[in-house]
Amino acid sequence: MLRQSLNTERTIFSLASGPLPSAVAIIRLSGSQAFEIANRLFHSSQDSFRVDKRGMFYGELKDSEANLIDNVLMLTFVGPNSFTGENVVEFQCHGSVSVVSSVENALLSAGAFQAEAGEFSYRAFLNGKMSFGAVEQLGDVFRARDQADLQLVYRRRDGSMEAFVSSLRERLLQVQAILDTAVDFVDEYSEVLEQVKAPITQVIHESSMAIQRFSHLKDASHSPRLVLAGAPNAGKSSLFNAMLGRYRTIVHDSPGTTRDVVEELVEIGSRRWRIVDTAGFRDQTEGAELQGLELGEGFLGSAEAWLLVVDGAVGMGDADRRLLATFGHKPHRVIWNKVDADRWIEPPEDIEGQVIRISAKTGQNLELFWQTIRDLLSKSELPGYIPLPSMSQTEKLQIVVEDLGNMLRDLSAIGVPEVLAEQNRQILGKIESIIGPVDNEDVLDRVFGDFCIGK
Amino acid sequence: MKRFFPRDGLFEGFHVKQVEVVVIGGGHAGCEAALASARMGRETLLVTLSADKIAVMSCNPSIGGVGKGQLVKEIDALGGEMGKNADFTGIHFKRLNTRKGSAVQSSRCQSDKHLYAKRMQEVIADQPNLEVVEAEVKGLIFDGGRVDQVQLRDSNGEEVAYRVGAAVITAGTFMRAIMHCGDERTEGGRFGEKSAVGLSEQLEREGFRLIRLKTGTPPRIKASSLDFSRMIAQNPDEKPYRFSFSPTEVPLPQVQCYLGFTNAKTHGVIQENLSRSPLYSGKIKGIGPRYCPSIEDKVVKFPDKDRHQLFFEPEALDSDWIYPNGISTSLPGDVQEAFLRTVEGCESAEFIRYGYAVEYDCFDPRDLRPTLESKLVEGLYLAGQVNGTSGYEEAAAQGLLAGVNAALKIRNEEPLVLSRTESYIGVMIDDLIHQGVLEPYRMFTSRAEYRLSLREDNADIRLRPLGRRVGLVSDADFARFEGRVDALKRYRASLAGYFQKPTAEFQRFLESQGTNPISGGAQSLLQLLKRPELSLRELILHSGWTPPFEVDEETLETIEIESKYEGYIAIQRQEISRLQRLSKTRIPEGLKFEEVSGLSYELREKLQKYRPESLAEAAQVSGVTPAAIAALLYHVEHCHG
Repeated sequence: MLRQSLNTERTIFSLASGPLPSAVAIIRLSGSQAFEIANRLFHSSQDSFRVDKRGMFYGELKDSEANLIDNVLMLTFVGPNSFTGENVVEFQCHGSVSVVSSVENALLSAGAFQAEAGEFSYRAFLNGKMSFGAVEQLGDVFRARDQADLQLVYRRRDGSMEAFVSSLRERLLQVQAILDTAVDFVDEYSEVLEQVKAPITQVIHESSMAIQRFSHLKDASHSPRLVLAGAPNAGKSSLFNAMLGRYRTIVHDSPGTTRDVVEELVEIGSRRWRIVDTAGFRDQTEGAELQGLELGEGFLGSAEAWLLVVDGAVGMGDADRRLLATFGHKPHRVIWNKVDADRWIEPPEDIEGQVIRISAKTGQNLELFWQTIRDLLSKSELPGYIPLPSMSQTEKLQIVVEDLGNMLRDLSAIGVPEVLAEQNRQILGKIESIIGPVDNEDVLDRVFGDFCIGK
Repeated sequence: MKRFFPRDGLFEGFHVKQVEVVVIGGGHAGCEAALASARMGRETLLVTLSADKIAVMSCNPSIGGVGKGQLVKEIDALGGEMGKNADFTGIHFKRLNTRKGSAVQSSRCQSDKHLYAKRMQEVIADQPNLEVVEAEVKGLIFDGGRVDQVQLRDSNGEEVAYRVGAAVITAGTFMRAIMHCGDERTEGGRFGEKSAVGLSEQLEREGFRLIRLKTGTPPRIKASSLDFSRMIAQNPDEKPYRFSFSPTEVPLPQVQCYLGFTNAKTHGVIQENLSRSPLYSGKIKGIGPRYCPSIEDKVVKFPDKDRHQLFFEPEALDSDWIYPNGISTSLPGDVQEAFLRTVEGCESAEFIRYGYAVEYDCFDPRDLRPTLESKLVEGLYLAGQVNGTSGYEEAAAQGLLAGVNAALKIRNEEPLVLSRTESYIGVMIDDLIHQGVLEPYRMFTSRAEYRLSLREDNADIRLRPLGRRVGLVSDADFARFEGRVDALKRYRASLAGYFQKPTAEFQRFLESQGTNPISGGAQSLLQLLKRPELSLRELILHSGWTPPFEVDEETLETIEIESKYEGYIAIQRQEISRLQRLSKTRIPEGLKFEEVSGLSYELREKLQKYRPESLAEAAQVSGVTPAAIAALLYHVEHCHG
């Protein structure tokens, strides 16, 4: 993607503000010709106006045939004291589609080029205005889905990755020591080899969690899922609506009203969760609902956490029991709903510890419900010491995990200690390079290519 | 047929003799140093307290072992004597680590210790340009930062000074040496021998840093007093794997040794008497080797182990002496007797000599250049245990390098420096001069990060040309070497060019080895050799290929290991060439380390302090990781010019 961007001779522009129409649109222009182009298009009666001086000026923006496009505010930044390190001009105009496209056409005919994704940041990087780490961080700030992500991104500045990597390294150094011992003191090495399995497995596990962090961030659609399950008419949709604080799904007293899976993003704690309302799991299913039911089962499989909603007046059914048996290993609670009814039965004793009694309809006990859910969900989070790696760090971690996997396999299959020691030594080198600088042009390309245009 | 006589001359009015290189000490380092220097044509004087102690095996009567066998092969490849001497006097050869798929095999032999010393003494006596003199070194005289004279005093008290071009100190454990056996303390570096007192003091005054270390040796037992039938007999290899790349022989008969074990009773006796061990009562201040611990150490540090191994090794063919390997100790004699007699088969063990510990001075090896020349005095070389190492092989390797460099110095030629990417010797010297020592330094394969590339079988490929360059490899040996390299190439090419058809018979063979049959068409033998389950020997036997000619053991080993571990070795090669690039990448004089991004604050400070001149040097600073080197490289290449 950076084929064009490698040419830093050209002057580039791009819309830097959000989607149109909007109150104000900002168009950014950067490069050696920026001032010259701006001077041709911008006309101000202000006495102080000089294009090559840092400042903010009011005036008219006209195209090459001197037709007025808009009255604009123009900001000038003289390189190297600018975002990109080059001369930069920003036009603040009215955020209409026609105005912005006229400005862009005028800039194009004046000799500027539409910027590619990440091209501004790339120049900032080349001109020493941004370190590679800062560029990567900027990308991740944009990707962050919620406050929790944002905090993880910022913690990188405090060396969260360095600390993490050095703890991985420590353990692999230990592995190295054990393997070296096996080479030099040959008598009982098979016993010795057993000892390295645990630390290797642990390093794989922790690295995988860090990789998972990044892949969640990268895949914007991925928010952890909290699935509402339970018999038809147990009150899942009422609970769903109560959690959203508004009326959305059809709530009706006849069983099986929710035909499709309905989901909504909700911030719980500092994390954004995808709450999924499924069709009821019934003992007998028929016709149109069948598909929805299957879908519901599928969602429980990929859920990070789930709630079993039970109608307190009806009590636990066989289907509920079956769900608990199958998915009880995942974080979950049993929501004993409809306790506002005249008659409801007490939940069975063996699940008492998991039960929250509420009424989704009246809002009774909802506060306690939220508190319990926040606690529950924070437990389903990756442990706090797992940092968020950058993209390039993630790629290296992936290689490490793969190599360690191979090593574990060879450990059982071949078990030649000096070869394992060599594998481990090479992996150690890769681990250490995770926190080193990046000098691979490919990686640079991909990091910058990931940006929205205008950054 | 004596070869030269030190010339007489006048020095500031005094009568002095003159010699090009003087080697102080006749141990394993001294022998190699003196031989190398003389063989390179320099007039060499070997000074020793007693000529009949030259090349004595003071401790274990064995050569080689894990990590050490590699050193011996390297010494031999460079043109040293140790490997040849071991071949001619070995009485129990055993290759270690020979299990399937092993890429790190080490040779070891037990020697007839009398014959070992005798043969080496004969080689030295026959060596042109080499004289032996029995005397004590009274002092060294330096002149303008150069070694100038060595002052000797012989047994009659007569003093004589030699003007020298270079001096090599290989004084072993004799400097300010004290022997401990229980409460008894005796001055001396070896049983019944004197200590060398003046040398370390004099050099300390000159600014040499000293370290105090400790080593030990087990008791010696009468073979006739042991019941070997209650121990496990250990057979030598059927076919001895020789150390030397030259055509040596193994003429001596091969004998067994025996394996026994300590037990709870043994450990009990030692525990009860710990307070009588100078190690534990605090009398010994020097730090002992972690890897060759005394039996007291083993019992204290590994309380969970209910037994420790004990090898009973004959010291010589015509001797009743047994060396009990594994119970080095400094406990008093009565305790040594008490605990050994608890071992099965040793109930009526008779002691010839008790074990003892030696405390001695050595020089801080960080004061050395990679040539083993002192940074403080030009022309003064240090080698062997005086540099804080342990073991005959480590000593001999240093002696050889020091001798070569002393001779090159006099010839005014480029010194010989071995890097850690090409040899174990290079690893050892690099470790010594950069890290220093806290305990006696012993070679292990794990010290060499490129051990898959630094093997016994290719020691000659790595080092013969260097030995040739300095003049230690004869025409005949070098021609043999070139022949081997050529044979290796052609043999491998032939294996690569032979495509084995998947005949029913061959497929059955593959299955019998626990590997998959060939799928598809024919496959080359070199390709098949990559499978971990297949050995080259078996492949040759079962394929339709006829070897174009016979090759030696080492050549088969080289081909097998290099094809099995091709991937790893290729990566090592890349790393090695990257390292070599690093040593060529100079760090600009004015570089501000605090401006290098990606370095921790601590590292920036450290680098600012040491100011390494090249990236390779920076890599030696403790705490500098490959990531830090990458950061530096990036900075030097992108931000500095």
